[in-house]
Amino acid sequence: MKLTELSDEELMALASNGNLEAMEYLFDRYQKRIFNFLYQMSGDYTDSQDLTQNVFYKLIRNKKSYKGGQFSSWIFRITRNLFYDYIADKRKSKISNNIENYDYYEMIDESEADNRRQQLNIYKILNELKVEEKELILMCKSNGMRYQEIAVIMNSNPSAIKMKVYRIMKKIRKNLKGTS
Amino acid sequence: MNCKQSEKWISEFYESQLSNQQAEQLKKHLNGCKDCSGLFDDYDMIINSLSSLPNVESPKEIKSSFLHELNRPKVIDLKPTEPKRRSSKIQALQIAASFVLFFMIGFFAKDLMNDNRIENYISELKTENETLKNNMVLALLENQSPSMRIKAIDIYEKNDVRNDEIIKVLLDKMNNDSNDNVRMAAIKSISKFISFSEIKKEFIQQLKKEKNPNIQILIIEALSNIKEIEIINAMKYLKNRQDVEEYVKVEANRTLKSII
Repeated sequence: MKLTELSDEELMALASNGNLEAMEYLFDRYQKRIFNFLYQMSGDYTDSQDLTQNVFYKLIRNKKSYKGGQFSSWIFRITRNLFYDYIADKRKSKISNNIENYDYYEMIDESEADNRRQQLNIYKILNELKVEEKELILMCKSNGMRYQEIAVIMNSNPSAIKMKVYRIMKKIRKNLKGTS
Repeated sequence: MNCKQSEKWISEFYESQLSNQQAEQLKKHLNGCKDCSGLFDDYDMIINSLSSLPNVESPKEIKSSFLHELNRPKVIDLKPTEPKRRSSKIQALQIAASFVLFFMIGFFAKDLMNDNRIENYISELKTENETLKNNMVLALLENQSPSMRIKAIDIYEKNDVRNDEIIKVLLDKMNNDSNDNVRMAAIKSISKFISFSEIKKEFIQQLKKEKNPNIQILIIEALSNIKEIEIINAMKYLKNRQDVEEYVKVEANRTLKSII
């Protein structure tokens, strides 16, 4: 069977036994997603590059510690740990005001000018959330992860995650009403 | 259905957790309740905005550094902080490990002769054994006794594979070792790699500042097989130096003639 046809978990099983090609396939599948997640979280392009590199270095070094289970949860757990170390280094409890760095203004499609103001408000609110809240909402609503998957990454249970997401959504809506 | 129930279901609607029947009930409530339909529209807009966050292209350097890391050979770092005490321990362990590996190869070769995996397995073990051997050479090169350092060079000399880490240490021994015999042994063992430009460069540099005539002669011999302008210049430099022994100058002249 071709490597392209294998699932993430099958590729990782091969990679952990020393198959470098399988590791490269996993890199190609995930690097953009990891980079964008870190960029959305940190708002810093260069730091996100370094962090993404470190995620994959760690993946290479710890390949033998993969013991099955959903690969995306595993790599996001690595990503999350590195991101929290990064924040600790920067001594930030809250990542905010990075909207100028992560240039939403440039990237929003001009043809949707009507929704622009509203969208920008949401992005501003997103940047004002606590790190844990922002992380959760990005995983759930932007990356399309299921509660079950997020629960594994965060060492929690799906119903607790569901409740947190519900509360954050309410908070975003409340803040949105406050800005308009 | 009341508004509290409706709010809960709106949230679950986006997680595809409602049954068709529940979705139908919610739709009915939204048609008749302005507040809840407003809530539904807000959620719709928020979720659409979040799911369409712009994605940027990641920098190309990420891939190149990943591939570099992926293909980097595994190096075991065994640089001792206290060379004298640690090297003997490491040495003993490594020699023991080498024996164990050889026995394992023999043992498995006997039992798995018909198995296709045997070849891969043996080559893996050989590579590991090679690494252990190289580490042993590196440890011995740091030994206090010059004769042990020469022994390390002897062991390495039997190996034709170039190991950059060992070469680096040997070049350092050639330039800085306190014992001239160790320096000469190092020169002899690296001279087979003289065609590599960085090694050639080191030899020429050392020749220019070298004071010991015997070592000067050895370096001249090593360089004599290369016919390049740098070597010609180095020989001319040596010939013109006043502090160089006459017989070394004769050797330099001979090399010069053979090149020209």
